[in-house]
Amino acid sequence: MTGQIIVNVLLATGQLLPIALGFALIHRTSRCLHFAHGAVCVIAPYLALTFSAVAGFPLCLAVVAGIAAAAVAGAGIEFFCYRPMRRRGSSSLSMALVSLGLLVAIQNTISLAYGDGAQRLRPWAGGPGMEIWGGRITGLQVAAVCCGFGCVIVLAALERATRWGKAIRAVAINPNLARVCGIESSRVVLSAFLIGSGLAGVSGVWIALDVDMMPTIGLGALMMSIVAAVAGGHRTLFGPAVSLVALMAILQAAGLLIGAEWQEAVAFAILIGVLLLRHTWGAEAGLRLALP
Amino acid sequence: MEYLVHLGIVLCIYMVLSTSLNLVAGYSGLLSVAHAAFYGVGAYVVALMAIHWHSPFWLAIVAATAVTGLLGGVVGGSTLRLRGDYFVITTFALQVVVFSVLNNWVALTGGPMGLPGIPPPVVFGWTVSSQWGLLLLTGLCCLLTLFICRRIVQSPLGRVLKAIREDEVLAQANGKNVAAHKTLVFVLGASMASTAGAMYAYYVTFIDPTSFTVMESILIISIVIVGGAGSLWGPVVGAVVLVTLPELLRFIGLPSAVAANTRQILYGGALVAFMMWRPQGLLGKYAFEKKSADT
Repeated sequence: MTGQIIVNVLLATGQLLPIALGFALIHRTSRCLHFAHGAVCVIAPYLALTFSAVAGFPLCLAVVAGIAAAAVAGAGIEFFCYRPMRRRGSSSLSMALVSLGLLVAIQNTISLAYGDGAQRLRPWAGGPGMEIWGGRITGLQVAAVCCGFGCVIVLAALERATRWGKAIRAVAINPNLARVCGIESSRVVLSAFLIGSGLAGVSGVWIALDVDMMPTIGLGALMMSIVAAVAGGHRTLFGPAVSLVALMAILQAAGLLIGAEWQEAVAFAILIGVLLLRHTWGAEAGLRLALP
Repeated sequence: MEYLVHLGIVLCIYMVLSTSLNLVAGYSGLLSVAHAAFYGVGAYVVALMAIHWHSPFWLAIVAATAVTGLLGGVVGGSTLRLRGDYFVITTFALQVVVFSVLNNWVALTGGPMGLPGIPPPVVFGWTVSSQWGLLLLTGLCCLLTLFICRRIVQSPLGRVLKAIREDEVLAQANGKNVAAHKTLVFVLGASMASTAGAMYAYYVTFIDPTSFTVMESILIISIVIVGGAGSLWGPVVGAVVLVTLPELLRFIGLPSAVAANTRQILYGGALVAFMMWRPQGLLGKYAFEKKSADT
């Protein structure tokens, strides 16, 4: 029993880590509540299905093409929607409204094109899997966990060791000062959208490969990303990653104690609690650093 | 004719919803993504009272406004210091929690199966079971909501709300109790949304949680944005545009599933287009363009 709980926590965390990291990366650089991230996440598996089933691509290549398409879609949203608004001096609230509109429009476009029903991306049937610590996990799920945690390590390394990473941190902490220092913040934000949306696509593909996909799967993943990003803070990428692990553990415990159907309510009750407690404890200064 | 009456009832319900959200978001600058939650709570309170206790119309309406007003007061009071993005995230979270409760508390709400068989309202001994009667009732409810909103925005309270929207610190420096005013407007907005929920429950006679999702909240926001936030008539015009124009899709022979998705795409697209090119909407005076202190 305990082994299966650990396996479930690891699997859910591994699947959601890329989208949560992507959301945090976009939020800390652009200060935009990018709700459309949930819809961008769904673009990857559906296009992968098209590339694989219609164009005849091998599944691996179709998945890579789908993720690339999600990355381009996210960058396109930044380039055509958010950037003109930012130049005009629009508030983050205005951009949040645009992202809500985009979420509805993209999700329903996918529904229109592929239908609301469940679709299967993987052509093979799921096996019983292997036993680890008394819990069962399939090879595909192990790959999803490794990929999720691998994304954290790679992104953290990129952020620490590369010029791009330093530029990301500079824009996140103080965009005006970053601009004065010669960093072109608009390009940095665009790159954050490109990589963040690609990461969302990775999550979308893993979820779709594990269970059947529907146009609404992105919304649930986005919700957990928001909880992880807000609870974990935005100063480092490890914050959202650690808070996602904790959140998944709490949700598994809640599922056992009060039923799996209440997991979403518990996650968002935690989010409300975290936001209110941060204000009560005066941690607003820390949040301001993350979201100047 | 029956179809036009149906359209009129739906239009009145959305006018009440958008006018009440306009009071919170347009006049006070508090962008709530939880309006469908208040709408849903109102609908469920009325449905439960009507089904289990055969409550008269007025008692059910009073109970619904009291319960949602209390919920709005708790939410408004506890989130007073949250601004901008954090307020949006908190109301988004509240919307998800309320939907989850409506969907999973099967013993009380019927869960995904919903609550069927809501009896027609009885107003002063008159059982309103015809469509025309319900149109009259929702129309009166809509007019009453508009009248109350007009009185509020033209009163000193309305001026304080606008002052808080424009500069909260300055309003506080001028001796205005920002916390009390924000809580009050949230209570009022939530209570008005609950009356729309009550009308919806009485009209459709069956409610389930899918009518009160975050997508419904986004639709109400779209109506306010398209019509124009911070203007009394903006949400009315927005409701007319966004409720009636997508109805044209019915007449071009699209299958219902395709028409439903197309309608949602139009709502989302309208929200994006207006926020990008005309953020003040068709008649509005406020464009959510002010950068808050936290963002």
